[in-house]
Amino acid sequence: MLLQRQYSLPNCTLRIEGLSSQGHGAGQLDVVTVCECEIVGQPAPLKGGKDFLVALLSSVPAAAQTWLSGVKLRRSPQQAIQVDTQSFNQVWLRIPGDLLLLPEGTSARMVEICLTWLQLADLVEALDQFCSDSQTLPTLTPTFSSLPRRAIAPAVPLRQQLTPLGIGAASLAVMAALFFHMPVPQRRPEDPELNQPPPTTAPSPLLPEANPPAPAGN
Amino acid sequence: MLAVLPDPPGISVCPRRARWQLDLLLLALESVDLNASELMLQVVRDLQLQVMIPNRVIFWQIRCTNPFRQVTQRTPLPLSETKALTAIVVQVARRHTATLRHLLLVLDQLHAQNLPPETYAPLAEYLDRFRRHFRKRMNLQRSGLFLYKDNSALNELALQLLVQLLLCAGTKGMERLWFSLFDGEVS
Repeated sequence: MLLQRQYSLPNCTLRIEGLSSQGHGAGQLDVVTVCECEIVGQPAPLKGGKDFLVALLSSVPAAAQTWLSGVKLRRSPQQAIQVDTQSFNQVWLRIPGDLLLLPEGTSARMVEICLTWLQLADLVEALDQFCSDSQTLPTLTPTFSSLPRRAIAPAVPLRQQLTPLGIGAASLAVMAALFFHMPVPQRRPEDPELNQPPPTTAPSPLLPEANPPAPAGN
Repeated sequence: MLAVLPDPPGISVCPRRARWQLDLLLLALESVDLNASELMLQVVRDLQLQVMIPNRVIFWQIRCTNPFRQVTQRTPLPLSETKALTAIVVQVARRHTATLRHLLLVLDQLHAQNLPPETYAPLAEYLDRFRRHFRKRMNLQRSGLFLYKDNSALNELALQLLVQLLLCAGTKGMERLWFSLFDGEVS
């Protein structure tokens, strides 16, 4: 029996079709045949199989967590779907063509779509609702984990950290080369006149005496 | 409710970046809604977190563990209180989901027309209130905050916080926020 689940948000609708392996009457969808993600404003819905759904689940919530923490990654994560959130209010999703069921006669190595922040939040919420649904692929549970320290790019890039050191070393080398080629200053012979003691001068009669004589009489 | 938030391995107190992040999210919520601070205390009562946050003074002291505040506490923030702050952010953000969505929808429309966010009055009010709250409470003399002397940088931060709040308000928002607080902290 074909089962269909739909998770609708204002900007994104996630539709999953599949079968139940437990026979007729069972409501649990555990074999996915088609996964369709329709995003408002995009010309056509993204359609794929279970691989597309798993790739979405492994890349989009992780990108949302990175966006939430605001950290910069040392290198982009090795996921099938690349999520790039660098620009203001623009999130690029790069999906390999082989994950998608493209219309007949069309082929693409990579499909790129641009989402706004609101559309990304709705896509994340649709995936969260799907993961919380115990009647749809119950084995597919979301796993949260914090990024390890080695995955995070340093706040100040290494090149920027090394710039002052490089400038200092370069200026030291330039100044050392400059002084190396300058002549060593010669010592001048001492002038004998300069070594003579200054002549002593007699006190001038015009100058007032330090201790004038006391007036006589009185 | 807090049981879904596991203690991260090898970490016993809240990291510096997490304290900054939680305080910023609370600040953004206060800018979205004038009564948000009362709502936060109501959430504390609803979730029965009075053991950790018995009154508004303790709540303020916990928020002052943010190292970039003008009045900052140097005491470490235990993980239990970090979980309480996380729960408060998520619950208050969930109650303001409609407002957050509306502001972001208008932002999209303004962005499509190449208009600045201040064109729409509620968005301009939010940005203005956020800038005032931020400048009043944060120590702008810190080198890390030097950038935010500029209005446009503060506006961008405020808009990013709107999206972050919306991501927190989702079905798995609390777990997502909790694990994101320790990104780059675990070995």
